[in-house]
Amino acid sequence: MRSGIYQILMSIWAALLFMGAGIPAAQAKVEGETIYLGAAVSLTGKYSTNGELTRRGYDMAVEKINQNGGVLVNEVPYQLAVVYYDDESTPARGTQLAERLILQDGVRFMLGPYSSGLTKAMAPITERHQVPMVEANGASLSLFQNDYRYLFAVLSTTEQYLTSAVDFMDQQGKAASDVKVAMAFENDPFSQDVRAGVLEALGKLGMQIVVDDKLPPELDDMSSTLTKVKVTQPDLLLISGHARGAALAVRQLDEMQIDVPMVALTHCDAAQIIRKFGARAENILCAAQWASSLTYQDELFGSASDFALAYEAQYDEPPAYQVAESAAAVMIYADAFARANSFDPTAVRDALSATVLETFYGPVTFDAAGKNIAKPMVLMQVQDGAYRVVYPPAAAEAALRYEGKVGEDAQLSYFGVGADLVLNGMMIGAVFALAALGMALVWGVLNIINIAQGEFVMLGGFVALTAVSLGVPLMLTVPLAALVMFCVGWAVYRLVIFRIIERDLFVSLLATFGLSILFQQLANQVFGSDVRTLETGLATLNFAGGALSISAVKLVAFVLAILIGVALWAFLSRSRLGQAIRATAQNARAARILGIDTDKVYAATFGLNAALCGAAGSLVVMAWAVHPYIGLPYTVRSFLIVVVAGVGNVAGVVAAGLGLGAAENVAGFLFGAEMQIAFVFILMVGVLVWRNWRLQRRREYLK
Amino acid sequence: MSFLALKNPREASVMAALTVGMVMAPFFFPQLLQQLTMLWLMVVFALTWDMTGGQMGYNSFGNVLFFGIGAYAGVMVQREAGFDYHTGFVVGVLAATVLAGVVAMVLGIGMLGLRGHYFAIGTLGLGIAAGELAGAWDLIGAGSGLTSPLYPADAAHGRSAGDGGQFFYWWMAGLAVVCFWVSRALYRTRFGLALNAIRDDEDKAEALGLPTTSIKIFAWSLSACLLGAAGAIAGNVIGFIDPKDVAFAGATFGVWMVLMAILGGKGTLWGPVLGAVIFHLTQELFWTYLLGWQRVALGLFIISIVVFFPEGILGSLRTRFPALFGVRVEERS
Repeated sequence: MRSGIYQILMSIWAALLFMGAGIPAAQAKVEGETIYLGAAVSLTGKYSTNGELTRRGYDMAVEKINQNGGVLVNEVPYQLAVVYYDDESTPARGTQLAERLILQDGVRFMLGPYSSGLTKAMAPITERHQVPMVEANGASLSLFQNDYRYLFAVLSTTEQYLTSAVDFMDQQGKAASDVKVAMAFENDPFSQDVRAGVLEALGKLGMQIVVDDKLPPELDDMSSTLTKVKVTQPDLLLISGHARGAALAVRQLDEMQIDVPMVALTHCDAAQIIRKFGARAENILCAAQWASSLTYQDELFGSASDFALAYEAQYDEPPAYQVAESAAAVMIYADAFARANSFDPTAVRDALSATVLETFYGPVTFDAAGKNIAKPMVLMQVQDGAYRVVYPPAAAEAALRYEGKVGEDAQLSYFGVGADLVLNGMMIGAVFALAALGMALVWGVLNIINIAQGEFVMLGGFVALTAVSLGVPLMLTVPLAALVMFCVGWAVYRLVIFRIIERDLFVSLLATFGLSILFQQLANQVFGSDVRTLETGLATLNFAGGALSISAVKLVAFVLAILIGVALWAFLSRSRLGQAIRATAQNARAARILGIDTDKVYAATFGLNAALCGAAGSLVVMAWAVHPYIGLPYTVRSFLIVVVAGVGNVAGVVAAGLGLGAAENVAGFLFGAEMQIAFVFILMVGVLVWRNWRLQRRREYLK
Repeated sequence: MSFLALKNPREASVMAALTVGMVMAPFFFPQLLQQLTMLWLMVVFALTWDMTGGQMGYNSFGNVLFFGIGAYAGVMVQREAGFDYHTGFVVGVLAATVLAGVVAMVLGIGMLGLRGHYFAIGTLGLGIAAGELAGAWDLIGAGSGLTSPLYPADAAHGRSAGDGGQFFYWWMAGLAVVCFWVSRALYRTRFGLALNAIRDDEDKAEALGLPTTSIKIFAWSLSACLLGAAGAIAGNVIGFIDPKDVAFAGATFGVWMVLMAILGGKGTLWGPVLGAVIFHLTQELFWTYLLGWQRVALGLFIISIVVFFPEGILGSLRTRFPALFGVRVEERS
């Protein structure tokens, strides 16, 4: 309005213009003797592990092609290079980056991102600009039903992923109409398209569907879905939920002692189920695009197993199929450039659509919609601790192992199922209660709502993992995680929190939100976005003749959580520091006058909160799983618990925590797993509005 | 319409400069078109958030709810109603505007009774729940998301799709202008004063006879309408609507709205505009130069904003240089 603002706005505008000018437009598709391919892959966010695999695949092929003299176009050898951006695993970012690669970086040839969702977001952009995109990681069939002319996929599409398992089931001699099938698919474009393919196959054969759940992408506990599986006792269980879903499924199937004759998953090799779970993964069927034991070969990499060896030499682990398909995408481009003998996008597109190529990854031929129809999907089975290809018959290394149902269907009582749900829910509820106790403390004493609460839990989990990998005995990880997190909490207080303690609550909400992004991303950079679990080797305990099974580690976690709650109560009511904390909570000024160093009390309280979360996190990693993005649901649950129970009420917080865990599990069972998280949040809003409503009649409101 | 008049020459010149920039930018920097479109989206985000957050003191963390409703409503109309592309788009935007406004009105009855951080967390919960529900609803694509129709090609070139970049730019820029003028007009009327009265002391405002409940609901609905329209346009710019990562993206768009308004200075007219521009620029720079670490930098950036500039850039400037803002300071002799 006045000159100050005027100058600021003008200088910003100038900066924007400068930025625009600073970016060389059309830096070029082909510069000198290098062809630039553009790719936005997920280096952070929920897909970052697979995004990294994608990038490695691209890089390996580019390197190899360049070593072999590059691509010959018009008798000039061109080198390949890839321009990368990080799409953060979100489609909103993906579209912007596609546009940016095309318009600002002048890329005329795109490689695909990781996941169907991101490919769905980027394909309209490349289509709009008529730039070809060869993708290797978007399998969704619906991508190829939009008449896109510039989209090509080297992989087999989703409808083929698990249908071979359905066929296997059909061949086992049981009448199709007697076969019961349970399905749980993650609620994302990829898995939902896998589900559509399976539904069609099941419909044709006339098999019964007894469970059909949508798993929320942020789900960390599958027990409500698996309880349904336990109740319905299906012959075939199909689960698709990227690496996280596969890891959780294998672990919890074993823990809940659910015995399904045939289990088929996607993404098992990305989840490394053999390395993580050993014998517990035995006999599981895994859908894969490619396996290193296949007999495909080409001149660049040699055979499939040669590729695997080359990859292992560089990265020290066997290649997941995501690497192979990504490498193949680059090879397809190299082949198309050579045949088109031109860099005109339309000419290259036409060359791409005429591709007929044998690669180490399999044959590639595109149909009119752009999907590869030459390469079949592979089904592997975990046999004696290794993946063996069992389908297609031409490539099979081993026969399918299938034993059928052992014994009669056990009779389950409603009581047993209900108890199972409630108890399993209460186990995780105890962990919620721990985090909520910390939140109540900080809220009561510092008057701060800590949004980074869930991130403290997550960090606690990673501390425990790191400690175990350094050889610390399992027993000591819980106190160690608490101790380390105490220090982290103290440091956070000294660096950030003390500056905002006198400000209004809203400032603290935002500042701690900043902390939560910071911790998430740091954890992602340091530990990767994999789902991590800690194996305790504790067995599962059975009650009531198998109707009720509780894993011992959950029970230990539960008991520990309750003990810590009791210890906290004792500390607050008996010790001197505890009294000082309570005094400060009641009236900070009065406490200061009486000689209490409130600054120290604040720091200790915040540290104590972080320690509680750290302990909770170490229990989570032992009984469930952690990854860098589990935080927010824990934060919101803590808040919900504290709002319901009240700030100064230790016993109430514990009770509300247990109740919430149980309610969530029951809701997931009754309304489907996709409603489990919605239920928590709707419950929270409902509780808030209801409590406020009652106060409003007295002209008051929640404070 | 005296409250629309531009009496202050400086403000007039800022606006002239901005208008020239807005009109010229797509021609001079066609390669930046989508970033510029997103820039105006950010301006809309910040301005609409500030209507309730800054001016009325109701800090919503869930305004992204209305953006998401708009995105779904707009694209559903385009896909299902059977209009040609341009009619479908316009009807979609209108439907989104109305639907988002109505939802805000209904939810407002319960939610706007909550105060302070309870309102903040309650709205956060609404936003997240909406994302989960959209992900469970098969009619709107559930977890598979919705793809918006491709922009039609100009038949002459035999292309399979047209480049709608310019089209979306003008719509988004137009919406930002509408948002700005609506806010500016609003804050100069008695209604604006009533909003500020609620922010400063709701009980006293009520005691003075202001119909606080209707005022609050009206303000929230108005910002919801504008956000709904923004959602319908942005759904087409982005091209693919994912329930949790695009439409109800609480952890990105939802929080950015708040941050941008705070960064610029909440409770001012120009603050959110300034905040949106600076935030968007910073973010683009982080994304370009800090591959993989950009969100770490963003986290640090957020913490420093709220710790060191809790009143925002304009707020801090006003405190430090009151003369620039027309506040006369008497020098003590």
